[in-house]
Amino acid sequence: METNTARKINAGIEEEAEVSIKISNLNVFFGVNHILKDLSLDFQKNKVNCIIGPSGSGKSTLLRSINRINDGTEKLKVTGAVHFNEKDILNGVTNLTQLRKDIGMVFQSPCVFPKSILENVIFGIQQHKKLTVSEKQDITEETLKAVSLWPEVMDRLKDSGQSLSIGQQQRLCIARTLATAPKVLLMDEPTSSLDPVTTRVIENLMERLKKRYTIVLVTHNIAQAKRISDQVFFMCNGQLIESGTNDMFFNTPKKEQTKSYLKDETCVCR
Amino acid sequence: MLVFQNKIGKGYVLASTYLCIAVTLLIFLILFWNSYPALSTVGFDLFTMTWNPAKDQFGVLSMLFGTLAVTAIALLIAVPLGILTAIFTSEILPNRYRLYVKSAIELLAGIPSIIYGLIGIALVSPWIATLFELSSGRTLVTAGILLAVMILPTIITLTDDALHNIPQQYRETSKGLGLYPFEIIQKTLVPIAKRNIAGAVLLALGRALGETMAVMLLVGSIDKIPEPFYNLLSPGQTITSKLGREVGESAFGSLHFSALNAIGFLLLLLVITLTIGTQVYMRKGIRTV
Ligand SMILES: Nc1ncnc2c1ncn2[C@@H]1O[C@H](COP(=O)(O)OP(=O)(O)OP(=O)(O)O)[C@@H](O)[C@H]1O
Ligand SMILES: [Mg+2]
Repeated sequence: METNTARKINAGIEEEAEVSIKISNLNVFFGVNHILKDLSLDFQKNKVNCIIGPSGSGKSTLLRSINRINDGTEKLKVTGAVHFNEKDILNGVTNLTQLRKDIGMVFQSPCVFPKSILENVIFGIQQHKKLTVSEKQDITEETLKAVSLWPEVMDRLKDSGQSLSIGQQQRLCIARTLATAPKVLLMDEPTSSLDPVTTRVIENLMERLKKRYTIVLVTHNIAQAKRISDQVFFMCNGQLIESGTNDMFFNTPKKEQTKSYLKDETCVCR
Repeated sequence: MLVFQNKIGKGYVLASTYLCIAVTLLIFLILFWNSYPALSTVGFDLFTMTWNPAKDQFGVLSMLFGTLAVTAIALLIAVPLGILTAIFTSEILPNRYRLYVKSAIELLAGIPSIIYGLIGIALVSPWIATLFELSSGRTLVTAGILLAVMILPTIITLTDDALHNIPQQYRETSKGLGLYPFEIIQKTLVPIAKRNIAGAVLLALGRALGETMAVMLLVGSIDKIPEPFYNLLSPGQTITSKLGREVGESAFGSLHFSALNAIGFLLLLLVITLTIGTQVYMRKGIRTV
């Protein structure tokens, strides 16, 4: 398994799609509840990998296993393997701080600290290395440009980040994550607290960001998945029901459960 | 019917509000009224060293010093200890133990101060005397230590609440950005709770300034500033201990009684300024979080 992954990653240049994160036989338990059931799937580099499925199907849990942010939760048990950078990050020694720097996360509702816009952007990266004043400026400008927020805030970087609109705040949060120079962006329903127009702004942003990052996106919204996903993973009740490219998944779904979910968002799975 | 009840409710709330304001004003007024004879005859000689009612000398400097010294000692001990304990109960201790620990701490807050005084006399004072080879263990430091124990619960519960009320997403976001657990506390949580923690400290400070019983039993009750002044392992006097001891033996209407009212007035001013300061500060804190 291990060498296979490594070869695949090394050979990735020739292959059509390069694997960024390889999940093998992942099981997650909270106490006696078996939440993720033997999941095996690959997230591809420079693609929008979209996880969809009904509420409670374990989408967030899957996402949160990748940067191990659930670590420390009581009664959590995880088995299986998650390969990233040719290393199994679940087993063996993993520097969690470095892992979370490499695999950034954006949450459902924007969480801006009661600090200035600039301080918010550099908040994460600052804990990893000392920055000079000009480096802080540069990082702020670069990442705010990457999330198309720069023109709106360039002359009020000292203002409180919490004075921004919700959509701006979410982009600020994305910029803050980008500032730590991650390779992967985990996004858990990043637009569900936003209005349709702002949602489009973030979606366009993801289209651009995927050129430089691997994006793993959880969404409730089937239409959104259809709009921006490259790969789709349909989960139900902790299992992976079906996955494929956007075209395959939405135009020629194979499983009955997938068809019924795409039709009216209902899903019966045991 | 509902409208009627609403009116009664409103009237009740308004009435009690006005009553509170009236009582506060009345206290101020009576204290000032009774202080006036002393304030007008003694004047700025209040701020001298000697207190001798027989000669109409009423210098309050030593008591002012004692009050400030004892309070400072108490804060110096209780603030770091209290904040660290609160960080422990709020952020490190598993939630199912937290409530037990918190109720235990809140129980501490309910112990009457005379009990603390007794324990101070039985335990702390002899211990201080032996440790520093003093003839008497009743010193400014002793009173300060006891006071620290007394205000500790206030600081712990309020700081714990301030930290615990910070939404979980701040912790999660920080964790996701790669902060270590202690960095999350230091860089994320404490800055957010800063104002409320300061509020907790100010509230504790108010309590420390006003505490009478335990301090009176332990401070030594001698009207002097130690020499050198930083030798706090000497007996002293605070405003409250002075009042506690002498109000009973002063004749109502005498200059002595009036002078005691004057130092009471001084204490009240100190405490009220602090309370108002706290409220203004806390209100700002709520706005920013
Ligand atoms: N910390 C936890 N402790 C116990 N159970 C948990 C925990 N986190 C999640 N679960 C359980 O895991 C299951 C999957 O939850 P998860 O949040 O992954 O679902 P989801 O697919 O993201 O749902 P949604 O679309 O509503 O966000 C749920 O049944 C939930 O109760
Ligand atoms: Mg979720």
